[in-house]
Parts: sequence; structure tokens; C-alpha cells
Amino acid sequence: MNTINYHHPDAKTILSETLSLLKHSPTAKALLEQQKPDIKILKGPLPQAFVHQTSLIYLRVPALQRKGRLEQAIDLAGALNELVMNTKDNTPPVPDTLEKDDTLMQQHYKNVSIYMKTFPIIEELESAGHKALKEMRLMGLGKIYQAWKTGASLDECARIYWSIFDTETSEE
Amino acid sequence: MQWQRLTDNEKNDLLEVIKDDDLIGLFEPEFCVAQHRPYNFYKDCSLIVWENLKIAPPFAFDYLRSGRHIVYLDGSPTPFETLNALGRLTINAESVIDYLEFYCHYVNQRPQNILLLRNPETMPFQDSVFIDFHFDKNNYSENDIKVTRNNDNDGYIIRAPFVFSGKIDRGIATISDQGYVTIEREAPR
Repeated sequence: MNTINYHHPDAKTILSETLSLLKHSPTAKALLEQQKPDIKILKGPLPQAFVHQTSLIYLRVPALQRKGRLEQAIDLAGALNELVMNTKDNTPPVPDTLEKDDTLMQQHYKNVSIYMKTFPIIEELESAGHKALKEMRLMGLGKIYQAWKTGASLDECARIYWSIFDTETSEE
Repeated sequence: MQWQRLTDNEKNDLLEVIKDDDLIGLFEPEFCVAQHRPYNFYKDCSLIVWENLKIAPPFAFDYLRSGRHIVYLDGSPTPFETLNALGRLTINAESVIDYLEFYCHYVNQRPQNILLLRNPETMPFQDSVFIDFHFDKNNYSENDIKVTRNNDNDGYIIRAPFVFSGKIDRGIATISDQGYVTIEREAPR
């Protein structure tokens, strides 16, 4: 019998407010209508999104948070883009290869691609009067956004994203 | 105090306690690893992380476990209060800083997140938040963290730099011997 409750106590409110915010982006609104995902709101220390192979998205939100914020809208926008990518390449992951360098590199590039596809949605939210760019920077994506904005390639953005988390070989 | 992977048997035992069959795809053992590590401020207790490796960075669930007691770290202080009520917390003038850092990492204060600025080099992504963070952080070191025993002899007071929603300010943390934590900004900008 499960005794741990992962569901956020304010899931309904958070989901409603997040969707309301996200629909201010025409691109995201179209993605929502196209993908029609099932979205579950879980509680946890760090906000994050997880996409299951089917059209199921988990959004994790800190338990003390009572409202849907821009951070959730941006996470959800990324998850919608991931769903689209999964639709084009629905190869299920192979458990034994998950920790191999090649797989990690593929995941890393996929992650960066998702961010690059999400930046236009963030800009649309900013144009709609939300402080989406500030929120995006608070999420730690400022450097990669600046690179994307100046026309950096996927390879360049992937290298920058890697350097953000690599404290051992960072040139800074 | 290194991370150690649970054996297959330990992982299966853990799964029986933590899984939720309604949450499809999150607890498939073939895609997940479970690791644990002890902390110097907890006796007979360890942090367990269940990571789903289908995406990068992994989608992780974190727990504190002591014997048959296991609590899910949900971003609120409640799991800490539950475990600390069992008497597992043993803080002193040295370990209280480790405890505060750990607490800040797992209790996501709202509306703003608060992190202890202990070692600026371990918070690399914060550089990309605000340009002044990059310069501000170099003004601090671990020597800026001052610990004193609380006057009423219950717990400690820590004066230290904290990151409040991406900006550094000095703050005062009060930590009781039972592990209750409050953090206030000392000098707002």
C-alpha cells in the first residue's frame, strides 16, 4: 500500500493558473490544442517537468507554493515541445544504455533543443506583458538564451549549457 | 560521505514503499537508480535519491530514511519536522552549517527561494541570473558565515550571505536544536 502522497494539495489551482498564463503565447496555445496533454501536478523541492512517452506531463511544484507561476508555464512550454519531438521520434529508451556517454550526450542535445524551441514562447509571454525573460534567467537559462538570441547553433548552445553546470573545467 | 548505490534487493524493497502505481512512468525500476548517503547532522538516517534517467537532468525524488521511517522531501519543512521529532538530528557548532545548507536546498521557501551562499563556485548557474551576481559572489567566502549559540541556549544563530531569488544579501538564520529554521534578510537592498 502506498503511503506517500506525491500530489500537490493545490494542483487544480496551479494547473488552471499555469494554463491561463501559458495561453498568452499563441505558439503555446496552439501546442496545447494540438497535443492535448494530461497534466499532473506533483509536489517536490525543485520545479521541474517530466514527459512520459505518452501524452502525459508531470509538473513538479514546491509544496509551499499555492499558485501557478511563470516558472510552471515555462516548464510546461518545454514539456509541450518535448512531446512534439517525441511524436517525431518515438523510439523508447533502452534501459541498459541510459548511463552510457552516447545516451547522455543525446539527452543533453535534446534538452538544449527543447530550450531553443521554448525561447520564442518565452518571448511571446514577455510581449504579452509578463516578466518571462526575468523568470527564465532565474531558472538559470540566461546564458544559453543570450547565445540563441545572437544566432548560436545547437552545438554552440549545447557547449554553453554544459559549461554552466561543469564547475571543474569551467574557464571562468 | 560518498553516494552509494542501493543493491537490487535494497532498491526493490525501497520501491515497495515509495511507488505510486497511479504515477505512470516514474517508478519503472529498469529506468531508475537509487542512491543514498549519510549526513553528519543525522544519526541512523540517510538521504535517498530515486532518479529516473529517461531525461537529463534526471527527474529525481528525494527521501530521508531512518530505519522503517521514510519521508518524501516535498519542498516544505514538514518532512524535516517529522524526522526530527524522532530525535535523529544532532547539530553542533560545526554541523549546523551543513544542516542549514541541506535545509535550504530541500525547503523551497515561497514566494522566494533562499539558498545559503557557502561556496560561490558550487553555484555556477546563478551567474546567468543577474550580471551583478557574478561580481557580488566573489566578495564572499565561507569565512563570512558566523555561527553563535542562541542566548536562550536552544540552537544556533547563523549570520551569512544568502541568495534570495538570485540576489545576494546578508541574512540571519535561527536554527533550534529540534531543527526548526527561520531565515530573515538582514540588510535589504
